[in-house]
Amino acid sequence: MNRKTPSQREIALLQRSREGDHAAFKDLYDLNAAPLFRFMSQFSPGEDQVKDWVQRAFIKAFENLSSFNGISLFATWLFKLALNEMRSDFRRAAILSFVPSLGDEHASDQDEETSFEWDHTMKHWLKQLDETKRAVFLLYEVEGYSHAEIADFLQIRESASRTLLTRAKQFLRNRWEEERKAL
Amino acid sequence: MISPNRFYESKDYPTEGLKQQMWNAIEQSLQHRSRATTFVVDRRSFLYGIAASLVFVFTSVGLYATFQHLIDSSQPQSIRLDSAYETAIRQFERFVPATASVTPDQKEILSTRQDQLKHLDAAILDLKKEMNGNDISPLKRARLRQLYTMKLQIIQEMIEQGEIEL
Repeated sequence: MNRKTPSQREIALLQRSREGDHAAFKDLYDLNAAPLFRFMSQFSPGEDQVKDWVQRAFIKAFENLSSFNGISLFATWLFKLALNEMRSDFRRAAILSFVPSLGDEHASDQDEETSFEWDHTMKHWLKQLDETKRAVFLLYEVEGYSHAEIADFLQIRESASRTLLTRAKQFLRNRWEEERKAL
Repeated sequence: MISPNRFYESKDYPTEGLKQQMWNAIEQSLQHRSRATTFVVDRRSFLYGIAASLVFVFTSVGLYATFQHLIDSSQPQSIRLDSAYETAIRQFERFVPATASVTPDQKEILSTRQDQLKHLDAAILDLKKEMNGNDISPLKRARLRQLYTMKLQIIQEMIEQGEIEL
């Protein structure tokens, strides 16, 4: 799954933002705030927490615009920044460790689930997954990022990203089947 | 792949109000940071300005002294001699400011001497104006030196006669 390349408009807005133009940065915000918010809202039930991650990601982005290469989409970079903010919060609060287990790291690519079919009732169980698996599932299945990109976002190996996706899908499908049997 | 429109629900999106609220917080933070940066830059500029001013002042003084020395040493011998006379007279006058108490007979002589000195000063001033500082005409120089010598002689005589005291 290859991501799009930046549009001319985005390149121009980035250039103006780098020169300190807040109005141009506001345009970038308007284009990217909602997609980032909806993604980050999958990791916290609290609106304030999501708001905080989004704000911090945009502030970090503005401060580091000069180091952004502009080859990838600005949105991709924002996702990475927001996930980093979230990860550091979780780490600080010792809620979870984002480092995958050794078993996950060394899992085979053959583990990858191919026959997965999404049902909207699964969204409820998605929240029961740990944040790493949830992030991998959302980034790959919903946002359309590649495993290479996800590995970069979460600072894990590409193979670990594949494994985590497979485990997430298995978990969701098992829960869905259990519920169907119960009915 | 799951379509984002199918996956996300309306409750997952920020309202317009919330979007604006987030932007206000972001903009406030960016402005605060840029103000802080400006202050740092301003303070640095101020210190650089002070340092530059000091360097400029010292350089100016050094250059002035160097040029003054060069100008003095490049002047003709005759002009430097005049300067030496002027300096000598100025120093002499500075150390003999008071007129001694004199007898009535001497008063007339003293008055005459003072008139002579005034005339000499006026003549020296006129000649210097005419020469405009850099005229090296030998005749004018000789005349100026003559006037200086006369002035020195009168002062010397006044001291010797006790008309003025050291």
